[in-house]
Amino acid sequence: MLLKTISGISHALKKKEFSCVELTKIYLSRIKTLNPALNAFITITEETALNDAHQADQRIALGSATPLTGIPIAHKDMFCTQGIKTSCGSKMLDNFISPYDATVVQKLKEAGAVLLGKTNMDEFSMGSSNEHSFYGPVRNPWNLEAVPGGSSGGSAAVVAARLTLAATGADAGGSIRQPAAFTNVTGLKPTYGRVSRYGMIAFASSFDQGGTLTRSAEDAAMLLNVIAGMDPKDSTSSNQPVPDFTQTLNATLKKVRIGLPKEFFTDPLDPKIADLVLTAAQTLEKMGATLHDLSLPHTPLTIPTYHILSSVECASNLARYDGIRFGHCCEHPKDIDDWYERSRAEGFGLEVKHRILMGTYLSSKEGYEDFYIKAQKVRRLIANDYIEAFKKVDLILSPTTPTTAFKIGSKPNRVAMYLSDLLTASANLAGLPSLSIPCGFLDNMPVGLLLTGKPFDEARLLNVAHQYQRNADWHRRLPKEFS
Amino acid sequence: MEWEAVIGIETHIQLNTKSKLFSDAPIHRHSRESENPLLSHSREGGNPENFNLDPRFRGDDGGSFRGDDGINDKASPNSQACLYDLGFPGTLPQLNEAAVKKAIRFGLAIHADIAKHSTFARKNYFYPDLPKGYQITQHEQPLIQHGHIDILLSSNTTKRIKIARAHLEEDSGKTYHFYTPEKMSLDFNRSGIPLLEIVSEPDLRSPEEAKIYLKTLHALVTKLGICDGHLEKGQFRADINVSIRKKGDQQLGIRTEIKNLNSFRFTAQALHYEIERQIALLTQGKTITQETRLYDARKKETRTMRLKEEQTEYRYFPEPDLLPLVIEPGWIAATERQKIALLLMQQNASI
Repeated sequence: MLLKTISGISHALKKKEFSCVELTKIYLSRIKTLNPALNAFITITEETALNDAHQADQRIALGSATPLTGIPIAHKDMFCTQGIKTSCGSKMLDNFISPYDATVVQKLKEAGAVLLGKTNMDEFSMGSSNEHSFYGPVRNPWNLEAVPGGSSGGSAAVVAARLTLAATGADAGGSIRQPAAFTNVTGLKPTYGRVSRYGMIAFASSFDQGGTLTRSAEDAAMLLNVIAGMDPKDSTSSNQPVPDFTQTLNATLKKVRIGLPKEFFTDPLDPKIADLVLTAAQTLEKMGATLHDLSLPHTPLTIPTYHILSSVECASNLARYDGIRFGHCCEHPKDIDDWYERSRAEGFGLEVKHRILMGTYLSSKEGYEDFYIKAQKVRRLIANDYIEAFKKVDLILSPTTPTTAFKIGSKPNRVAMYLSDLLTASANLAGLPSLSIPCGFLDNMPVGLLLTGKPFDEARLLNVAHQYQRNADWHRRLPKEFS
Repeated sequence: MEWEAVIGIETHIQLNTKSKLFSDAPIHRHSRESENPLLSHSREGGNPENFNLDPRFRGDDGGSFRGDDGINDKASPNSQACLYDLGFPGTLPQLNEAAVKKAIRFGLAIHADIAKHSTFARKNYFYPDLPKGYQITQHEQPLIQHGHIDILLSSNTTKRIKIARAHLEEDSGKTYHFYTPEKMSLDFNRSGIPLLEIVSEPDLRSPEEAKIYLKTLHALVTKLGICDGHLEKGQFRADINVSIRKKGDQQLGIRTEIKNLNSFRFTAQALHYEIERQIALLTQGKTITQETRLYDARKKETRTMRLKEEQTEYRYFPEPDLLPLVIEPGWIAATERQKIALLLMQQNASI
C-alpha cells in the first residue's frame, strides 16, 4: 500500500478492496508511530479524518465518488481550515482557529479527500530548512539529523515517509520544490495565478503559489485538476482554461525541446548533483526529447531580487498581526504602542522579525528607489530571459538545489541559507510553473531534478515528469525506517 | 502689508454603494431619505450646519474618539464587517465595480481624464482601527486626474477650481474611548467603506471660497447620486491645506493641514482662525511650522495634532493582491455620459 499512488488507491477503494475508514486508520496509526521522530505534523485531525473517511465510503457506495474521494491528504499549516488550528508555524497564530476554508481546502474537501492533519512549516513560510518553526524543526525521513528543506518541510516529510498519500504546500521561492528534492518527493509549483491564494496565509503575495507534494507526477496531475482554476475571491487568479492534466501524461516526448541553462550548472552546485541531473536529461533524450544549451543571463541576480521584493511584501502582509482581533497578544499592555511592540516581539520568531525589519527598510524613503524599484526592474529582466528562452525550447531542466539536504543547525549564516533557493526562486520571479522530481541519490540523500515551463503549461511539465517516472524508479524508493 | 491665503482641499466622500470597496459586506443605511438622493436631497444636504460634528470636543459627555464622525448607522458594532474587513489571515480584496462606476461618474462630471490604467497601492501604518496594518488606496496612478469644478462666488462671478486627482480607497474602522483613556473600543463596520478622495489644486483664496467650494462639491456628489452626503455621519469630510503669502508673491508659504472638518461653517471658522494665526506669526517675525492641526469648534481655535517630523512614513508600494484597474474603451456607456450631462444641467440651474 505504501508504494501505491493516488490512482492505484482510488481504484482499490472503488473496487472495495478496503474502505476509506480502513485506509484512514492505517495512516493515522502510521502517523502516531512515526511522526514523533519527524515532528512533521502540527495538528493531527483524527476525528474529522475518520468522519471524512466515513462520508467518502458512503459516497463511493452511492457511486458519486471523484478520483480523490477517500484519498488521505495533509495541508501545510498556512492553508486556512475551518474549525481547525491554522498556525502558519508561528506562536503568533498558535491560538488561531480559522473560521473559514481556503479555496484549495474547500475544493479538496468537495472532491472527498480525507484530511489527516496540518503540517509543520517554517514560520509564515520564511525559511528553507523548517528550522524556523515555533513547533520545532522537522526531520528528514532519509536522515533524521538532516533538514527536510522548507518552508513546506512538514508536507514533504509526511509524503516521503508515507504518512499521507499527498500534501499541499506553497512556494514563494522554492518552498515546495526544494523540500521535495531534499526528501525524494514530486513537488509542483503551478504558474502564478493557476491556483487560488484565497485562504493561504500570505508571506509574499506576488510570489506565493499553492501546489502539491506527491509520490508521483501522475498524483500531482490528479490534485492539480481539482485545485486549479479561476477564483473570484482571488483577483490575481487566472481565467486560463484548466485542462485535464492526466490526459496528456502519456504524450510522446519526441521533438520536445529541453533547455539546459548554463547558469544553473555552475558553482555553488555540487558537481555530483550536476552529473545525476545530466544523466536524467540523457534518459529523456533517449525517449525522444532534444537537449539544448542556453543562457538565462540574469540568474545571478535571483536571490537578492527575490529577497528585496518578498521582504517588502512580507513586512506589509504581517502588519495585521497586532493581537487585537486574533492571534497572540501580550499581557497587561501599558498603552497601544506597548501592546503592539510586545505582542509582535513575543509572537514572531527571529527570522520573521529579520525579514520584517529588512522589508520595512527596503520600502522606506531610503530603500524604495535604491532597492525596491531596481529589484522590480531586475524581476522584469529575469522574466524576459525566460521569454527569450521559451522561443527556443519547450521547457527548462536543471538541478533543484545546489546541495542535498544539510544537517540541522549547520547553516547559522542567513545568506548561506538563502542560497539554497538559488535555483528555484527565478521561476517565482517570472511566475512560471516549475516541478521537482527525484532523479537519484548522493551519499544516500535524494537529489531533485527541476523542470520549469511556459506560463500555464503545467501539462507539459507533468507529461515529461511522468514519462521519466515510467523509466526510472527513484520516486518509488522509501527511506528505510519508514518502509 | 497685504496677505493672501492659499487653500487646497482634500475631500473624502463615502460612496453610497451597497457593499464595501473590497468585500461583499453590506453597508447599512437606515435613512430613507438617502436612498434616492436625486429626488429628495435638498441643496444644503439636510442642513448639516446644525450638527456639532466633532464629538472629540464634546467634552465629558462620554464621546471622545479618534474617528471623525458620529455613529454611522444603527447596525450594532462589528455586525457589518466580514473577515476581509477584519483583516483575517488569508483573505484577499475584490474590487467593487459599483464603486468604480460611481468614481467614474464623478470624473466625467468634473471633465477629468479617466485613466485607462490605474493602480492600487498599500499605505502602511499601525493603528487599531486599521485591521490589515495598511490601507489600500491609489497612489501613483489614480483613476481620475485633471478635472475642474466651477464655483459661484458671492460677487456673482464664477471661479474655476482645478481638481488634481480623485482616487478610490478604503475607509478605516472606528476607535472609541467610551470609558477611560486606557480602554479602547473598536467598531469595524466602517472598515472598507469605499471613499473617493478628491484633491483640489491650491486654487482657493479665502475661507469663503473654501466654504463655497465644499458646498458646490457636496451638491454635485449628492446630485450625482454617488454619495449620500450626510456630513454628520462622516460621509463627506475635508482636510484643508492652508498657507499664506504676501499678495503678488508666486512662491507658496509653509502650509499647515487642518484635518477632519465635516461642517461647512466650521471649515470657514477654522480657516479664519488659522489664517489669522499664521499672519500673526509672520508679522511677529516667527516662522510657521509644517504640521497637522485639529479644529476645536468649542474654543474656536486650531491646535497642533502632530508635527511633520512625527508623521508616519507610509511606505507606499504597489498592491500585489490586485491587478491594475483597466477601463476598457466603451465600458463607460454613452447613457452614463448623457445622464451626467442632464444632472449637470440641473445642477447649473440650481446654482
